[in-house]
Amino acid sequence: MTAQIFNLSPILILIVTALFVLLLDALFPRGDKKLVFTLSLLGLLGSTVASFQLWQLDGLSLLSEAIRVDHFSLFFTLLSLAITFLTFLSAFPLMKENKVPAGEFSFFLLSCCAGMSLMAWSTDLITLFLSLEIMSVTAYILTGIERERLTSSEGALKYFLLGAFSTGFLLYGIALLYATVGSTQFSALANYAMTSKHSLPPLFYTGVGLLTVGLAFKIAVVPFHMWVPDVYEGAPTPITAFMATGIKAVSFAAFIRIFLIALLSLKANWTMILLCFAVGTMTVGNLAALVQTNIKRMLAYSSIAHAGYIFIAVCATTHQSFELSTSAILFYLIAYGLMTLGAFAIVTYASSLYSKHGQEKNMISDYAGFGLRFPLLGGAMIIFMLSFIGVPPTAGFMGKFYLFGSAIKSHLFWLAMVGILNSVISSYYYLRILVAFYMNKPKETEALTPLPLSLGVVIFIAALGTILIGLFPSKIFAIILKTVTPLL
Amino acid sequence: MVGYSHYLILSAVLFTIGVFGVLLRRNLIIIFMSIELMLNSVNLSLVAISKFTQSADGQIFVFFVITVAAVEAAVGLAIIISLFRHKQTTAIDEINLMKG
Amino acid sequence: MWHNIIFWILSILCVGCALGVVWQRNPVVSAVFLVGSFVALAGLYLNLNAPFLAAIQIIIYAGAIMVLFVFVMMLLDLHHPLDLYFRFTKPKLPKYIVLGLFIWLLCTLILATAFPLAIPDKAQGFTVAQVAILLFSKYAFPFELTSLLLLIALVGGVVLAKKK
Repeated sequence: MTAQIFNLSPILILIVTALFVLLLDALFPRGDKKLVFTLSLLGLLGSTVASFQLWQLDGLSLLSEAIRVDHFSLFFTLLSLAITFLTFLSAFPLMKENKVPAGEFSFFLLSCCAGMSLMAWSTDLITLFLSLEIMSVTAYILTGIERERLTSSEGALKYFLLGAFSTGFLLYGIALLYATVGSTQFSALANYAMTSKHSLPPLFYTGVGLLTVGLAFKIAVVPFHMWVPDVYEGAPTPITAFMATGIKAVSFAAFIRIFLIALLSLKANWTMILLCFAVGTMTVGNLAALVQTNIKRMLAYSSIAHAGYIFIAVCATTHQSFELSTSAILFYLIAYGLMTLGAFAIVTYASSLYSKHGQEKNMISDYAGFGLRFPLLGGAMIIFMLSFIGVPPTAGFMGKFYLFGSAIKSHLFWLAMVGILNSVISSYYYLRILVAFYMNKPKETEALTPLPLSLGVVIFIAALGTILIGLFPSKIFAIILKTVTPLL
Repeated sequence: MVGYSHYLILSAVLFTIGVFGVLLRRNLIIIFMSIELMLNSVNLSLVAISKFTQSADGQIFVFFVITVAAVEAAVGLAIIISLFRHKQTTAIDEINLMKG
Repeated sequence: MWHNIIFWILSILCVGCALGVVWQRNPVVSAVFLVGSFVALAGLYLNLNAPFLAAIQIIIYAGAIMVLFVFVMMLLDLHHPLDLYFRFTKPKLPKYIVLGLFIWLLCTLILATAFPLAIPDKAQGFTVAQVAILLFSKYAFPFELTSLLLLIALVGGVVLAKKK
């Protein structure tokens, strides 16, 4: 039992820190917000150390196969921790200005991180369901936590209603799978799919379909993406970045564990649906982003499009190309996470600069001349936008290179072509942001608040990471390859 | 003779009614109650599965679903309250759930 | 025999109440219908030899969750935003057709799947003790997760709903 608790330490440290921070804030409501902030960061650090401690394990199923600790789950734990860390840094100005209640905010963010890690750990539908709920419920609350703003509450309501709706589908799918398979463990699902391959009952497919709907909603795959723009626009900007990167990434983790590992033998039966998902998500995301005037909505649609690119590798996954395709997905999640967090950090600062009377100002026209006024931030934004488009030598380029490469490896040339075409389309709206940054004259100059240090750190880390991963991708790719190889 | 599939079909019917309550109605509270109905239909099928496969796991799952339903009810209603605090002071258009 | 009769009575009651929830104009009446549907479901659980779940269903759903719903309906000042947000829109025909298709599809899929139809007579329910042992051994970890979930809901409810 003690050994099991040791193996759970990354999660436990997060939960204990969350509780401690909550209590601390409740006991000293007038206390310094810095203390809460520092403690949360220490908790994240402790959890990171614990995850590295577990890295030497070779993969271990725990708690009657409810969860599994292997390199794959630890990879996603580390990714969630890093994303949460950067989110804390970018949200620090919000906490300091008391726009959000610091103690509760940290509690939710840390709990959400625990839920996210558990998503990648779970190998049982029940655990998956509960960790998904921990993650989603905290995400609903975090969306609406800036109660002074109407859009924040509206976004929370929309996210909540549609999220709960999709939970219903997910649950019904789980129930139907349980009815046909007789167990909720992924290994049992895999066994069932393997052994009775040619006489699978229709109800099994219905269950798989409903489960797909539930997860596709969290990933925001077209046609289950309606909630994204409003929710991303309404949420506090650091939380938007958090949802666009973290929640999306671990939903992909669960997707991989169920559909690309446990049910890989059935994949040929529904390749058509996956192809529709990939093409639809990319195209709709990019086309809708073209006409947006609000930068947060534009980035929301762009995040939909990027999920579509990732789906290219999902389509390309077969028994032969499993390692390459899955590694491409994991690699892209890192690259995409870095550039998205960086871009949203710049938006956070810019909108705080132009905001008046508590209303966010996120129109692209508001950003006129931003790059001329802040040369360094402008430079960082250039890096992120080029990386979004996929221009070398950025992380985005290498990410897309691996994604499209996996498609070509599986002889899906046309799919890779669609991906490249979409990247070309997307360059229009990414460059439009840069045009606003540099070509337009700045509006009236007012007294400027200096860039908060924590935001600067986020932007610096993201920009540096984007460049470094773009320049030296092979090392990281090799580690990821080692992570996914033992999965099959 | 009433059997396994009768219960599953009843659950499917209830689930569908819930789904269409969500899609057809505009009233927030009723949409929310329809979601509760969907979760309940899942519970019914889980109890039926537990009985007909003679394993208690289904019943355990029902506990978790009920807990989640309670959690969602608490959080969802709190969100509705926080939104209505805004609405009382400002007049804006009604929320359109399906607007892209 | 009794099993069959009870099933049909309760299932008709349950579906009727569910339709009432969806069709009703007034949310309070909808809530009453929803309670009716929950009670009918509890009866079905009894019919399936799950007495403990039937009790839980009444206590938590009808007792706690529905009270919360009605309480919130009272708390919100419904007089003035009522006409703005609580508008009854006429459902469109295509949606009904899709509704029918969805039910039809689910039923066919269920019927097309062969289930072992035997046992129901011999099959026993599970005692509370059996369920509890399973809950605290095999499912101890998910059980602990629900405690975190409930805490999140508690704090979240306070943070979102309290006055500024």
